[in-house]
Amino acid sequence: MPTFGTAELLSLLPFGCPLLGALVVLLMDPFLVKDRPKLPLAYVGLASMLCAWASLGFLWGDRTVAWSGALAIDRFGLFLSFAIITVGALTVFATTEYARQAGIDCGEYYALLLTATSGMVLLAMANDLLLVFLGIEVMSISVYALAGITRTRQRSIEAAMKYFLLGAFATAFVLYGIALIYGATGEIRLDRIAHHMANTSLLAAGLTFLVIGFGFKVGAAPFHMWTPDAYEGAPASVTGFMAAGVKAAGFAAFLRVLVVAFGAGASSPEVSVVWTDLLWLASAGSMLLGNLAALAQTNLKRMLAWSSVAHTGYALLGIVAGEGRVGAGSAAALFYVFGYSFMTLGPFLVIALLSRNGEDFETIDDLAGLGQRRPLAAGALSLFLLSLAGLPPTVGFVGKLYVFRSAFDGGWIYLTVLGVVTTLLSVYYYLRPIVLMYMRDARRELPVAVPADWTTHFAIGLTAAAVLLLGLTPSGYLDAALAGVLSLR
Amino acid sequence: MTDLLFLLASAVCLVSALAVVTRKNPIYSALSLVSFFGGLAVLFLLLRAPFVAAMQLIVYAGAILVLFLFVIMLLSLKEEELGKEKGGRFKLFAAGLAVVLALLVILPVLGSETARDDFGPESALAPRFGSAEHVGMGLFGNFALAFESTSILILAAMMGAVVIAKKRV
Repeated sequence: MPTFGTAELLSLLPFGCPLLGALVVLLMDPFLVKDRPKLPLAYVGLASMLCAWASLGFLWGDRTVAWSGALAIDRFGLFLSFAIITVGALTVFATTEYARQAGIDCGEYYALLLTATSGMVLLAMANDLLLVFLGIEVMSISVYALAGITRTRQRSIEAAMKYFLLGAFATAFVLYGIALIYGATGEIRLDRIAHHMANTSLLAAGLTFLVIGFGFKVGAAPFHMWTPDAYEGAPASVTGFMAAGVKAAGFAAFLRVLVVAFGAGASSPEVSVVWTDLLWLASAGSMLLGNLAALAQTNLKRMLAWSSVAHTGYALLGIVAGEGRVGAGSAAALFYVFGYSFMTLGPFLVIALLSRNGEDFETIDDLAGLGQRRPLAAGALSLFLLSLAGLPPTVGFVGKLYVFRSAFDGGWIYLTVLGVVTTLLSVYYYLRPIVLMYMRDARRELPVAVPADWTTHFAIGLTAAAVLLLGLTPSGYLDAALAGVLSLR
Repeated sequence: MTDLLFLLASAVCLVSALAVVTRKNPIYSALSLVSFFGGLAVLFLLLRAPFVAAMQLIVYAGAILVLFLFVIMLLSLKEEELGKEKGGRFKLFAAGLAVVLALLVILPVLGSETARDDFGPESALAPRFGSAEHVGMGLFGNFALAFESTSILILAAMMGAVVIAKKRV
């Protein structure tokens, strides 16, 4: 019987704090005055996120494992948890006015955001396949419910239903893969799977299932079918959280499983060929399909959904270039996902800012004239779109640069060329909203700012600052990403 | 004797699993699922996991399937509401895909000659392997965190169900 001590209790903080916040929010909700803004709930949520944030700094250090090796406290997990918790905190804090107008600012909205964050952090820190599965489920179940929370709107329910059915299907793949891997090795701990001489063909089958399941969760082609509908139908605040947080957490587990358990250092290195083959196909498909489909969109949320498929392709390119080694390629993928979570959260926060009474401000043509009427919102949205397009001086540029360089150095020339070409293609659809905002007159009345929007303004400002800061002085964060990947060894 | 039991239980499992997906009436599907769970419990027993076998019967065949049946009967679907059988080509595709996936799993297992003895002889197992005590020690020992995390999962699922189902936010 193992004994657990202080180290175990401290390791609970990063995901325990949001969970505690969720419980407090649920208990407080009935005691609040009805039909008044539920600001106290947002503040409790924010406070619990800040505690989790502080605990990350406290735990930052050399790799240790806790709970009989189920949980890894290493720079890799903490680095991405930093992005996840920031995204969660900004969403909880910044969308109170949006939620009030959409009629969803109930206790459950905040509590589900908090449990989803808790699941994401658990996923980023999980060191065995059982916790990987549980983290995926806690995160996904919360997000399914959040996607359908405006359940009087048909599109929202449709989004939640599609996301739920396909997500459950993907979960079954993950679980089956885990079962086969356990059957082949007799282990669920990632670091032990790596050192286990196993029945390779069974291991490869399990790995294939696992990759398919993860492919669904991060929205990689050809498993991306749910993305456009789910992103379009879910309320804007939830979509931003989904695009940034779910993707970051999914990639955290994906990268950790591939590098630690099936990487180049594993005792059956032939399995790393299996996933590299699967992933370079998925990467090429996502980059092509995502960017081509985004060209034709007229709805901003739908366009961003297709763009998220494309960005999944770029992040996968980094993983492929890493080939399971603890080196530059994996670090580039990690940094890319880190930066992406900020630049994709931003546009959705702007949409949430401009939406009134639960009707999302989402048609690209509606953006016309925004540059004169709402200069700050238009400026921030332009910055985020430029970052998504990969133009300097933003984090999108640095991230793409490192991914492409490591892919080129790794000998993936054709894939790198495809990445560069699709990036050029993407500039067209990212620039179109900017052109509309500054060079056309408004076609319809644009919503004016209300005082309660200050939290959203504040969060957009912070996100924009992060996008610029990461783009101008990336070296510290790149070093942290490299240290994170090195801590996987 | 063990081989005979194995063949019998696997046959029950295969036939009833096929029945679950091919029956048109959802009640028949749910009842086939019960018999599938029964066969699965026997397989677990043969794998020296009596506790899991008992849980399989009590939780799945007992509690969850009864809920399934309740829901189906409450909805009381009429013949016409179930709709016409459609998508023949799609079904063929799905069946083909299922066969490919099954082969993907079966072939590696058949390919390894030692598949049967991978788990070693009975003496290699921990004493009281598969008993409730053994499972309990695992749940509160090595797998304590995973065990506790399932409660977060259940909490999230509960909140989600409430928020989707309740009348007024």
